[in-house]
Amino acid sequence: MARGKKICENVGFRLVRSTSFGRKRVCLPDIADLDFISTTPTKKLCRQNSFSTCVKSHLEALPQDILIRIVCGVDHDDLKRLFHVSKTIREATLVAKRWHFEYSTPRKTLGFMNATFPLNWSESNDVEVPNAPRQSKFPRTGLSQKKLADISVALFTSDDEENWPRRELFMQMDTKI
Amino acid sequence: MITLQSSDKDVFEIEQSILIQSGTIKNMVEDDFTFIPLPSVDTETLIKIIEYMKKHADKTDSKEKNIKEFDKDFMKKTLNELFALVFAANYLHISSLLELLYPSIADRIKDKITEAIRQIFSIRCDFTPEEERRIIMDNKWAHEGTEIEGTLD
Repeated sequence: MARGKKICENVGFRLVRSTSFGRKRVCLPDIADLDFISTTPTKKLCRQNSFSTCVKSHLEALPQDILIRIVCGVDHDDLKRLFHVSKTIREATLVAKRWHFEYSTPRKTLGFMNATFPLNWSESNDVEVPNAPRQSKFPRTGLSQKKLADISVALFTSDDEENWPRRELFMQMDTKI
Repeated sequence: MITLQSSDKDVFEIEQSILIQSGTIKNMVEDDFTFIPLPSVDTETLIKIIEYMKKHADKTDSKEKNIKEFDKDFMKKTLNELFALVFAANYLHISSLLELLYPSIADRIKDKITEAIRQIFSIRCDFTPEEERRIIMDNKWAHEGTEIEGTLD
């Protein structure tokens, strides 16, 4: 009950309790607050400059949590452009970068995209991804394919058991390791 | 039946089962309100919200594809309409609609240069030239794009 009253008060309405409605309650507007209620939340007047009709854009007028959620939907490359748009957008971009972009993989995009130029996807691996950890393209192990074949052992016996040199294999392992 | 009143004083009578998708309306219905004024939502936006809630009220498996198609078409709106919907959906706590709106607005920002973003969204640049230079210096990650903090070695 208190919750409903709070919602009504927040939007500038007062409760009227009427016996004719039984348990049902109706909100009536407070006359003094009527002008405030009719103002749409999308426009905020800039108080600093009284000589110009300085109206904040819809994007900047959004609550910051919603703005951050929207910025989380753009690509990594768009972040640097958003940084320079305005102070409000920059703040939201910084938060989105910390919460979202540092834990997500950037989409690799080529510097130029020409529809007539045949795409060579093998070259896309050369595109640098910002802040990505460097990964080696080749496995860094001391074992070659030949050595792996020598020490590999069949896990399950088959009908061709005589083809698997078991005893000799263990002797080979002793010498190489 | 619940009566909603827009900021333009237009009233709409809708079934409670459809409107409880809005967290705000659900709370008020639980407190036995049957007449709910929405001073932050104009008639045009409220009509769209009601249309969305009516479509999403019946979420059976057979209608899932239908709903997805509806959502796709529903997002084909002007920026002003999308912003009005965001404000309304935020006020009414309709999280499914908000989840649709975020990427739709983000798509209008993607792949645009800074000045284009300012023009599309009517944003005034409030940085001084010194501040712009400092931003570039402080956030080289955004401009060089080749720094690698660590390796797997």
